[in-house]
Formats: sequence, structure tokens, C-alpha cells
Amino acid sequence: MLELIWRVVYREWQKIRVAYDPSFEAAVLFSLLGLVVTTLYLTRDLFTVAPVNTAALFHVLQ
Amino acid sequence: MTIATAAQSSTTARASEATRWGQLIFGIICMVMIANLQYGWTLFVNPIDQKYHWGRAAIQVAFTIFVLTETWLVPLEGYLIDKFGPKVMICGSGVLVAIAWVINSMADSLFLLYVGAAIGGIGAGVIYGGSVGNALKWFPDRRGLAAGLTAAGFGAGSALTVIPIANMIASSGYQAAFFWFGLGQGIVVVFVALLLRAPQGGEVPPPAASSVVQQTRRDYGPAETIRQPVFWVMYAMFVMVGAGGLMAIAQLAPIANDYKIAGIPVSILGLTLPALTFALTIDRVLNGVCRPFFGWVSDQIGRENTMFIAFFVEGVGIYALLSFANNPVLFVILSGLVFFAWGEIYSLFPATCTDIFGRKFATTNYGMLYTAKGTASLLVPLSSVLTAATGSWHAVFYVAALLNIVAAVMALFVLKPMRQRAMAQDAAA
Repeated sequence: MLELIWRVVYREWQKIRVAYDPSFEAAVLFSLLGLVVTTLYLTRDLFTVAPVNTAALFHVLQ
Repeated sequence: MTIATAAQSSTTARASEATRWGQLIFGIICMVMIANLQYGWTLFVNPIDQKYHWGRAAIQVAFTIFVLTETWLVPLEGYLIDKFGPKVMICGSGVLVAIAWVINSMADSLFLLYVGAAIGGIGAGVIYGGSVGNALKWFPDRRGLAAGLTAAGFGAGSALTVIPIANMIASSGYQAAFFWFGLGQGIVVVFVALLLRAPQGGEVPPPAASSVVQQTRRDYGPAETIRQPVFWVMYAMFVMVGAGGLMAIAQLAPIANDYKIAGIPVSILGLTLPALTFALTIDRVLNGVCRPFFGWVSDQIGRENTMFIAFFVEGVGIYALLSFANNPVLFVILSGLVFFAWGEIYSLFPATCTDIFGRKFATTNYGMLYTAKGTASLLVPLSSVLTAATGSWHAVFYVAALLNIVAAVMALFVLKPMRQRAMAQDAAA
């Protein structure tokens, strides 16, 4: 039984390895890095002088 | 697994014009359907606050969450769209945007409101990226116009439904408006998405060989794209123009108030409104109109040439606004010019990006470039720092004008030669 499970897991892992795509890595890197940096930025009061409503600015920028 | 746009058969018959324009219109409809998630939100803030008394700031955090997920996840979502095709991704996202507003209609805690915002942002990001990406793929010969029309659908789309939503909020409450409009928008996206598809190999015209708009015959993957210096030049230009225009626009109200012209009635073309209201009213229209306009111009005279004109006009417009803002009529006209020369970044950059890096990963590659919008918005608070440091908003205008002029010069003297070199290398390879 364990061997069967191992074979299934190993087979699926091989599929993932074959399907690995550096493009995916680039897209994920861009998305997550930006999301994390922006979230940190918005949750810290970096600009305490005359703070602006960043949400409203995003709204205009769109 | 296959790439949706892969040239599965180079002998595929050329698609008819009706098919191509049909695909473009389906994308625009999807964009119109998600416009309310962003532009309609403001209508709901006060009613939510009146019911639950959470405070406007806490409620607006939901909007920030929406924009964060909508903007920054586009590269990842774009990759999935390029991989699986727009139909399945946008169809699923139609369900997400419907769920988002249905959750909002039932949200009795801030947490639920935030969950709804995150789900809505993910859905809207897929639909935005997928619709623009599909337009770029179907119209290699009119890429600027196609991207501009699609992007304009998002900006102008809410104009159709703002009044019905406001009326429903007034008559039946904001929860009913969230529920029915959410459901309606989602259902339309799901059904229209079923008609969407990426073009097969031979269905669209081959990359242009004209001297005006050159296009690569190679398809760059996202990992290759971010290693190209020309990508980062475009990213920097996108940030400069985005942040520069936004810094100026954010100062419109302070200027109008400082010169005491905000409430002075201005009549232009038979329409009379207070100067500041007039300026803010025409922003949507001009910001929407300029996207297909400059996109079309770029198809005729080239991307970088159009960038130079638009960014230069933007820079001069910002400087002129600083000089003549004490005149209410000129204030309205020049602020209109600033808006008009600003929104085209959403048509010129996607078109240029796809011209340079190819069609196959157009959605992912533009998705990565599109995050410059988020980066630009992070720079905007610097305008407040600058205003506080110098005691007036004049310095902000000088910086904003300068950023646009620098971007204009970069378009001609940095981007254009770099792009030509990169394409020459591709052709020689």
C-alpha cells in the first residue's frame, strides 16, 4: 500500500518537474514581490507629513 | 498542456474581420462589467457607514485591498490566461466578481467586507488582463487602437451604471444594489467569456513589416522579458508618466482653492459648472477618449513618436496649468489637456510591449509592465512631502512636468533606438 502511494506521489512529482516553467516563476515573483512590498508600504506610515489617501490615488490612477 | 496562442497550425485560415472585432467587443463588454467594482465603489461607502458605523477609513481599506489584488496579481493571472486561454479564466472570474459583491451585500463585519474586496480584486485583475491581452493578440495590425478601446471600456464603463446604482441604493438600500448588480455583472461576464478565445496561429495578420510599427517575430517568455533592458526602460517611463500626471491631478483641488476659483462658474460648449467640478467632470471623458485616440495615432505614426507627443504635451500642459491656473476657464481647459495627454499610457505601453516581446505571452508581459501603475502610486505621497517641505504646490508641478518631459525625450532617444537594436538582433538571430 505504501509503495503504491509512493509511486503515485513520485509520478505526480515527476509531472510537476517536467511541467516546471521559468515563466511561471517570473510571473509569481513579480506579483508576490509587488503585493508584499505594497502591503508593507501601506501598513506603515512612511510619510507622516501630510499623509494622502493612497486608496483614492489608486482610484484616480486606474 | 498547451499554450493558448501557440501556433498549433500555421495553416489555420485567417479569421474574418467580424470575428476579430467580435472578440474585441466581447473584451470591452467584460471590462465595462467590472468598471463598477472600482468606479462605483464610492457610492457605497456612506451607506455602509450609516448602517454599521465602521468609519469611512476602515471601509476604504476594502478598496485598497481590492486595488492591491487587482493590480499586483495581474502578472500571475496573465500567465494563467496565456496558458489556459481567456475563456476559462475570465469565465471563472465572472463568478468571482459576482461572489465578491454578493459577499459585500451580506457583510456584517469588516472582515467579510475585506474578503469580498480581495475576491473582487482577483476577479477584476483576470478580466482586465485577459481582455487587454486578447485585444493585443487579435489585432497586431491595430494594436494601439484595440488596446485603447479595451482600456477605455474600463474607464468609461461605469458611466452607464452609476445612476442606476445610485437610484437602487436610494430606493432599495445598498445591500440590494450590491446583490443584484453583482449578480448581473458576473452573469454577463460568464456568458460573454464563453465566446472569448485566443487566436490560433494563422488567424491574425503576421507581425507588421512596416517601417512605422515594427513587430518582433519572436515570442519572449516572461523570464526572458524581465532580463531585457528595454523592458525596464518602459517600466521607468510608465512610472514617470503615471506618477507625474497623478501628482499634478492630486493637486487640482488645492490649486483651485488657493486661487479661489473652485466655485466660479465656467461655461464651455453650453455647459456651465463651477470650475473645479467642471475640471473633475471632464476627466473621465477625456481620460477615456484619449486611450483609443492615441492608440490609433500610434498605429499610424509609430509608438515612440506618439509617446513623445503625448508625454511632451502632458509636461507642457502641467507647466501651463501652473502658469495660468488663476483663470477659471484656462484652469478647466488646461486640466482637461492634462487628463487627455495622460490616460494613453494604458494603450501605448501594452501595444509597445507586445510589439517588442511578441504575442504568445502578451498578457503576462504586459501584466508585469502594468504593475508600474502600482509603483507609480507609491511615489505619489512624495508630492505631499514636497508640498510640506516647500510650503506650496508649485514644486510638485515642476517635478511632474519634468518627469513627463524626461519620459518624452526617453521615448525618442532611449526607447526607440533600444527597441530597434533589440529587434534587429532578433531578426539576425
